[in-house]
This record gives sequence, structure tokens and C-alpha cells, in this order.
Amino acid sequence: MTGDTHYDLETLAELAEGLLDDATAQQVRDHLAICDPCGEALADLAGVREVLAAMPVPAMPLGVALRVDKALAAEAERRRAGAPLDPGPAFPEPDWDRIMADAPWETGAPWEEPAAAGERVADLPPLESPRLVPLAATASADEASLDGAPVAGASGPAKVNGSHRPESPADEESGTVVPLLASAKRLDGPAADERPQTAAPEAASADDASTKRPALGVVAEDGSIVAPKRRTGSARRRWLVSLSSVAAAAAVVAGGVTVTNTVLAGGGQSTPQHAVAAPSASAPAERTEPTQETLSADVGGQQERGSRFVIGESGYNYADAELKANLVAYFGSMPSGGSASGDAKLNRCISKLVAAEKSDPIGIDRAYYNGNEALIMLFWHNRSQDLVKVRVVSPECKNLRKPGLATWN
Amino acid sequence: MNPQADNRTSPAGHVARSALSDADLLHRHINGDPQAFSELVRRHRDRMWAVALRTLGDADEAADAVQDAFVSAYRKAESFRGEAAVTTWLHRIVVNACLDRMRRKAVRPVADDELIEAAERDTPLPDHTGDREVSLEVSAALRLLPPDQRAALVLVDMMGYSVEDAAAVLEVPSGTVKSRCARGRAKLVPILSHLRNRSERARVSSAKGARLRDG
Repeated sequence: MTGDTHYDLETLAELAEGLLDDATAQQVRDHLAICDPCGEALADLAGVREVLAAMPVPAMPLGVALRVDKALAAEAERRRAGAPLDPGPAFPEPDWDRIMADAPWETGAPWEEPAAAGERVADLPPLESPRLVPLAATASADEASLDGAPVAGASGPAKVNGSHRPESPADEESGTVVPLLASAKRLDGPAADERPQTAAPEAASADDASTKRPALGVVAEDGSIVAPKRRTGSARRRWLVSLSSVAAAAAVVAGGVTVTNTVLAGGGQSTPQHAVAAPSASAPAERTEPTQETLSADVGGQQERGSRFVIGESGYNYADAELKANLVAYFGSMPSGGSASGDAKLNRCISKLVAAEKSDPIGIDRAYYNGNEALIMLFWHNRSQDLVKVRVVSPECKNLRKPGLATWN
Repeated sequence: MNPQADNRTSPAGHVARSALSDADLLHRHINGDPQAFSELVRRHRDRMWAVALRTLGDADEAADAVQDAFVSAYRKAESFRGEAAVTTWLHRIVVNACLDRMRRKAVRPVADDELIEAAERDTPLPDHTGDREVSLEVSAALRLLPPDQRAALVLVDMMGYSVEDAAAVLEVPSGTVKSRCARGRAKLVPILSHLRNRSERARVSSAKGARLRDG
């Protein structure tokens, strides 16, 4: 073929992929030897490959990673509750997102990046929508129908306008699993690097979070709970709720809709049914009872004077400036729900600080201080002046900074 | 699946976990290790995100697809037969989640000039040229390809996987992957060159405008 007639891009692309039969390929190559426009078109095709290859590889945004973690935490919770790995489409689960949508911290929080995740999460359809389950099945069915276009004599240099061209006819023996070769980038290449999860260090491991680490809460004292002042309005809600586990979410929801004096066991140590029942938030009694036992069992025995502490876990990265300012926004808005700590080391540390301060803490938060894992504990310094003492210790219970004062009003 | 897996278990569970193979992790997940799947996710989420974002061309859609895919993988881990790499299986689930989404929308113009018009609509005229514009152009152009061709190009040309790996992910013969790539590239040439020319024209005219304005 010479003169004014040229091969179309698709034929040239097929030549480049080695998809043309020998005779046709030779024909096209002969033409290319004398035809500049077709040579340029071939170069354009190579250019497309280069442009595509040069596209930067995006890392998964933190918000999306947290969302995925949350969804998997919900799966883990269901699994712990006895659900099979593949329960089928009809497995019931509360619509967490709808329930969470009314919670105060879903609406007013200036919380940097993870806030976006929270909002996105709120838009999600429930996990149980049937679309999730048969992904592979539908896709392969569609595959069959899409590729089932009538086959024409395809490998010749015929002009094709790009509409319904059959798939390469030579290779349609479907169902064969092509063995992986070691060429190019391997799919199982080096692992993606660990992402620093400043916001929710345990979010990826929900089970860990709910079995070993308690969720949220405040201080109980001799059976009666000292509720911190709570802001109901525009207090900044920095609690990264709901991301570490469904149990945490359950606890928080209940805390948000019921009176402060309710302590509930939302941790993984309690029964999953309990955690599931909580967000319906209709019967406080149901939630209160097992809690008392849990708390007594877990912490009470280790605390002097039988005090009970429930530890918050905001995952927030505190800096000095914030720990000098008014901490009500951080600690005061902590929902009262939560579970006791089953962590003996943590409890020993808390007991140590309580003994040193000779008073019970107003609030405890497992969080970060300047990027380091830290336990933040607040004690009253001067109640009439609204001053609190702030202790910041490492997981090993060593001071990370000098005890300081902050306000509480 | 792998008898050595248990030997590598140590009291420092997390450290040991990171040394496990993907297949070991999946096996542990099936057997109830609550951490194993999270480790798998941590290992592969960036690549899964890249695949989904490029295949769908939209961050929100990609986030939905990746989440669906990981949840789906979590649930149907037992269906993993071990005949392919875990990564292949994961990629397959992600790609299928993306294809599923695309096909449900399934509005795609057919003729080339329609494709180009649509690409123009989707790509805001850039003020200056740069990586970001190229990236926008490419994703706008990719969005106009049929899903199968797009998925093949994402895996082979963008992610750099071999045709054989891509074929395993897509569960089609290698020749089919090559054919989809070839046809996809052929469609992209006019779209991309048109978008590029348009950017050039815009740059020239705005430079002219600046000269006129400034003096």
C-alpha cells in the first residue's frame, strides 16, 4: 500500500504489539518504510505509552486509608460476632453511617484531614448493599457479553473506525490462567511503605483496638461518675471516633445521645451483641449494667480507693501550645461512654500518676505528644480558677515533659 | 497453606507478621488472625489506589471502589485458591470493582470526534502547561475509552505490569490484553494530540494577549 492510502492507528498499534499475522505485518512494514505520516503515527503511539508510563503514582490519601480501615474494622467486628467470612448479601447490620450522622461530632468539628474521611464515610451506602458481594461474578458475566461482539476477519489491515472490533481472535480460548512471568514490574513487588497514621494509630487493626485498647470515657469515682463539664454547642470535637473499631463507634454513639452518667462497655471484651445494640440508644439500662462489672473487673481492683478510669483514645497529636490552652475542647467533649482498660501496664501507670497527684484524673487520653505516643492525664490544680494540671507520659510511664497547667473552662 | 508460617510466629506478633508472605497472611486471616488482613491492606493499598484512581479517573469513585474491593476481599478470602499470587487476586478484585462501577454508568460516546468533544468538556483549559495539566489530559482521555481497554492500559502502560500479569488479573488471554492495549492506544493518540494542541493554542493566544495588554 503506497501513495495516499495509510494504515490506521489501530493497525499500527497492533503491529507494534505483534498482533498482525506475518504477511500483513510485512505489508505494513513495507509501507512504513516509505510513508512518513504512518511513521509519525507509529511514533505517536509510542508517545502515548510514554505519557501513560510517566504519570505519577499517587499514594492513597490518608482519608481514604482511614475509610478503608473503618470499613474493615466493621467487618472484623461482624466476624467476631460470629458472622462467617462471606455471609451472603442478606446479613443484617445497623446502618452505622446514618446513626453516626446525627452525632454532634459529625457536624461541628474542625479536624483536619480525617474530617474529610468522616464526611465521606457519612455518605456511604451501608456495607450490605448487594453490589459488594458478587463483584467478580458480575464482572466476568459482563466480560463475556462485552467481548461477545460478532467476530469479523480482524487481523488484516482493514480500516476500522474503532467501534465494535472483536477482541484478538487468536487468543480467545478463555478460562486459561496465564502463569505469571518475572518480566516487568511484578504485581507482588515490594510492599508499600508504612503510612504514618497520626490520626488513628490503631485504625487498621480494629481487633487490637477493641480487645486491648479501650475506647472513650471519663473518670468514675467510687461508683459515681465525675462527669467533666461538657460543651454541648460548638466545642471542638476532636475525638477521632468510630475509626478504631465498631465497638468504639457504638460506645460513642451511646455517649452522645444519653446522659453523661452512663458508662458503657464498648470494648471487644464485652459481647458483640452489646456493641451492636448500643447505637439504637433506646434502653440505657441495658447498656449500663454490664459496664459496671467490666469496669470493676478490669480496673477497679487495680486502682486505689476503687476508682475507675476510662481512657479516651483520641489519637490526637498534642503540642505544647494546646496543652497550655483550654482543654475542655479536647477532653470536655469526650463522650462519657467507653470501656475500661484491660491493659495492665497502662493501669499501673495511671495508678502511679494518681498516687503521685493524690487525686483522680479529670480526663485521660491515649494520644500523641509531638508525634510520640503519649498518655495525657488531667488533674484538678485549682478548681475555682479552672486550672488543670497536665501530665504527659510515655507508654513506659516516663514524663515526656514537665507537668504543666492548662485551663478548663 | 504454608507450614512454615507458624514457625515464624513469635511473641512479637506484629513484627513477625510483617515478615510473612502475602499468602501466609491471607491464610492467617482465614484462620481468624484479626491483624493479618490489615497487614495485607497496608502492604498493597497504595497500588490498589493507583489502579482504581487511574481506571476510574475520579477520586471519589476510586475511594468507593477500593473500599468495596477490600471489604469484598476480606469476606471472600476463602475463595482464594492459591493458583495465583495474592496480589493478582487483590488486583482482580479491585479492577472488577472499578469495571463494575464503570459499566453501571456505561455512557460512552462512540465516534472519535465525539470522544474529542467529550474530552474537551472534561478538561479545563489550562493556564500553563505542566505535569498537572498533562495528568488531567491523560485522565480525561482515559475516561473516554471503553472500560476493558482502559483497565488494560492502566495495568500495562501505567502500572508497568507485564502483559502476562495483566492477563492474570483480568482473567483473559494475553493476546486479548495486547489487543485491548493496542486499540486503546490507537484511540488515545488523536485525543491526546488534540488536547495538547489545544493547550498550545491557548498558551500562544494568552501570551499574545499578555503582550497586547502589557504594551
